[in-house]
Amino acid sequence: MKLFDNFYNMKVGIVDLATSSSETVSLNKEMAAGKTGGSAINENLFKKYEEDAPLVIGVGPLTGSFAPASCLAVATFSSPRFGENLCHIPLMMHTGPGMKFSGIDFLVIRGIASSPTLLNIERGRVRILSAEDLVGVDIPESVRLLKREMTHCRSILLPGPAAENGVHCASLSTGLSGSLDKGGLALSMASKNLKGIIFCGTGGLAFNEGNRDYNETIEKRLFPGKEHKNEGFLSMLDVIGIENDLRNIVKKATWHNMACYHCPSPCMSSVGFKWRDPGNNSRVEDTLFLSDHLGFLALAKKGGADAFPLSKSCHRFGLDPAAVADTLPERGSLAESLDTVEKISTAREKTEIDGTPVSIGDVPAETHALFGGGIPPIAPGELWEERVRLSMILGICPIFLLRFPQISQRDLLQFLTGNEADLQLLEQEIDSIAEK
Amino acid sequence: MDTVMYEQTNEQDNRITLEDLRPRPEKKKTFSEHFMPRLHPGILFDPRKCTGCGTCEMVCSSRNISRVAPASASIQVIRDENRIKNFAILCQHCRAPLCVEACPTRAIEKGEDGIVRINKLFCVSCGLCTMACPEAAPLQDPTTGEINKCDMCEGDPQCVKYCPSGALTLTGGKRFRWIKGLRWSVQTLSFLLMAVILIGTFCSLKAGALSFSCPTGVLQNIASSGTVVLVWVFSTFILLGLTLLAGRFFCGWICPFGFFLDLVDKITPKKVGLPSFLKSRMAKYGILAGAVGGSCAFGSQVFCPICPIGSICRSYGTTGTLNGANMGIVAALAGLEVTERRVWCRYFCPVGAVLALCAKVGLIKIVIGANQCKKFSCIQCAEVCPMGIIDADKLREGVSPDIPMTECITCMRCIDRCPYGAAKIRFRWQKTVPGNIEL
Repeated sequence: MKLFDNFYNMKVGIVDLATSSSETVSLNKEMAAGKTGGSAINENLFKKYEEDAPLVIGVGPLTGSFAPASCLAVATFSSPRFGENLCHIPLMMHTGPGMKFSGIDFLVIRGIASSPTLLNIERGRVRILSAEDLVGVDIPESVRLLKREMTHCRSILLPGPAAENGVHCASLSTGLSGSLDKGGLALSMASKNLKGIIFCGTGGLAFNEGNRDYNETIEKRLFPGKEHKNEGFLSMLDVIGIENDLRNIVKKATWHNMACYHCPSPCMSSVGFKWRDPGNNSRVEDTLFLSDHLGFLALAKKGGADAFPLSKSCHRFGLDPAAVADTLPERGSLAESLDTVEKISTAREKTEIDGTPVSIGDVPAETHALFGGGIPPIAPGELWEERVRLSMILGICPIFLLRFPQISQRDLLQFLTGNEADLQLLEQEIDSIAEK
Repeated sequence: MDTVMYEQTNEQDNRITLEDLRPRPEKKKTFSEHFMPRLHPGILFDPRKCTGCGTCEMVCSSRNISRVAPASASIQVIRDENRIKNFAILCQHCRAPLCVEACPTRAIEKGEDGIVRINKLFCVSCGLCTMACPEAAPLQDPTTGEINKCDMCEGDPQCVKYCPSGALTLTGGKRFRWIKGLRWSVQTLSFLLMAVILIGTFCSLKAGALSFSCPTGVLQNIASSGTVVLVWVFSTFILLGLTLLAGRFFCGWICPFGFFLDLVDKITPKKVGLPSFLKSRMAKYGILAGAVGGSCAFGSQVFCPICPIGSICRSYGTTGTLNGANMGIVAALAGLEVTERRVWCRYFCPVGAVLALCAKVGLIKIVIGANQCKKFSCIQCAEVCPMGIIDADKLREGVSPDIPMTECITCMRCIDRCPYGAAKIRFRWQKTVPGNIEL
């Protein structure tokens, strides 16, 4: 692990919610040997504390570094939606760097809290706080309350009221932007009586100074033009395959492209849209942050332009839009659809949404489910699996790696070391993780 | 008792003050700076392009503290998922930095190159600079408590260099201000035409079927003679029509006295304050009413003999002699420039009053959109406005200021100066661009 000294804090936070205690231990050889980072070490830690049904969140060595799109943190847990199988959910936006710059690389959450609890991670310490105020509060209001209370908060993870109510299709929200969680991370957090995790991200790491120029070389290779491509959410929908009519409908909104940490090719957008609120029959100007491509596409297929208010409503309660879309009637009225979303957010029973993993594109169902079920299938099956696995280990955004297959594994590993022997060792490690 | 006081005073005199240790540099404006103000470097932020990736924070901290620590960077991107834009807090290297004034240890200085730097040896991390700065750009490091401030990477800002979306650009100010060049050319030509070549043409000119008259003079004529001569009325249409189309364009671009005041302003220090009772923008309407009323009472034009525009047009005689009385009027009114810029035009000019009434229903308006303005600490538009009608406080609050077209002389200095393209000319009926900056 000496190789990673500049890339990790070498700290693991271990929280026992049952006893309301936390400690920070060193990331030692036993935990990390031959595992490089990210989901691989997560899995090790998960197995170590398996009896306590842990939830492990971890970052890769490149998370927060000069490598492009180094935004990723991975949550590893036993998925309540996918038959209690192990599941790795990619957490994007600024979650990964937020966690790393908060002074820990891995967080193991064990046990069940006796009262609503909030975790605040700052300067290598995990503080366990009471979260009574967040009970029953929707996500936008929770974010507002937390930002008001916490001076520094780089990233917030919230399960939301739907997960609190035990709704099977609940989905985690990173801030207000939703997430790619379709494996039940929100449910897993809620089952531990955990109302949120805050990463303050006030610290930093040295990384490798020379990587700044190396990154520039890589980006120049990807984008030979002066300005980088700036395509956003809509272009991702094109890649996934949105019908032209539908595209023309959703394109009418005001789109502003947003990127995760240090990403040169944004795949998210915040959207300004107008809609008629059926509640008070008035025209409303609203905004929405879109990060879940499959979810939005599913809603758009059902409701056309109504997908915007419906997505907003899903974000509000912390629901998986793709699962919600399955329950909505084809071209139903907006009032009905909004009503359905609200009803789902309080429905404890599984409703019609069974959550069984489905194969999307030519990515097999099990593989898709293993990585949370939210990463769009924008590459052929085997390549998809290889790239996503690599991203989860190194801490790079999986969507970025899928979009730019010309960035090789070696390109990324060269951010860690320039030594040929070390590079070969790392490649062997990653290959062996993949084989297992 | 007296002795004690004497001792205390003496003690104070002997005390070494900050002024002795770190004296403030004298603010001297050289002659050339009046005409060619020094360019100030700055980093422009375009929220339409910013994707909120935080690369700027990353490279900034890496360069300044040799660590990737976004929270300790001298630039902070505020990502608001509720709105469809991001916002960046970064030092604007203001022309008159408030942080420099606020720093009790004088750790902040503005260099000859225009860059505002903080000397960490003297900084006591009190945070007063952050409070004083309208941008809150000196940022307190959450871990060390130190103040971090952009030093523009000594001319090669890394944030600009590495921004993947091109949302940050380095500017040394607009090098060629074409509006300024055009305005000075038009003003010079108009001055030469009215005051030297076709002497007295402003008051009245007849060239074939085309006639031109000063509207204030025509009003006085009508009042003094008691008759309305349609030719006189029509002869004012050129100027009034121009005002309807382009606001008080005449005042900003053509008026020979305005041009003269602009020249005087270049070399006059503003050392004396104008008494507040004289600072009424309504005074010009009073003078106009007085001129018309007086003409009616006395049966002759009472204001024209002392009108500074007419005077400057008549100063240079046809025989090449200078008219002392007219020059005296011009010189006396130009002397008011020691108080404010274009004092006569702002408060007293009755010609301006007639044009102002016309401009009120004119076709155009000037808008400054706070949303495009982005950086409300810049306020360069307010600084350059000769009529002093741009409310700098509103801009600092992030609110678009109302620009009264009755007072605006359409000189377009604000448009020319604004580095963000926030100042614009719009038709009156066009929806005003501005919204307020929301954080």
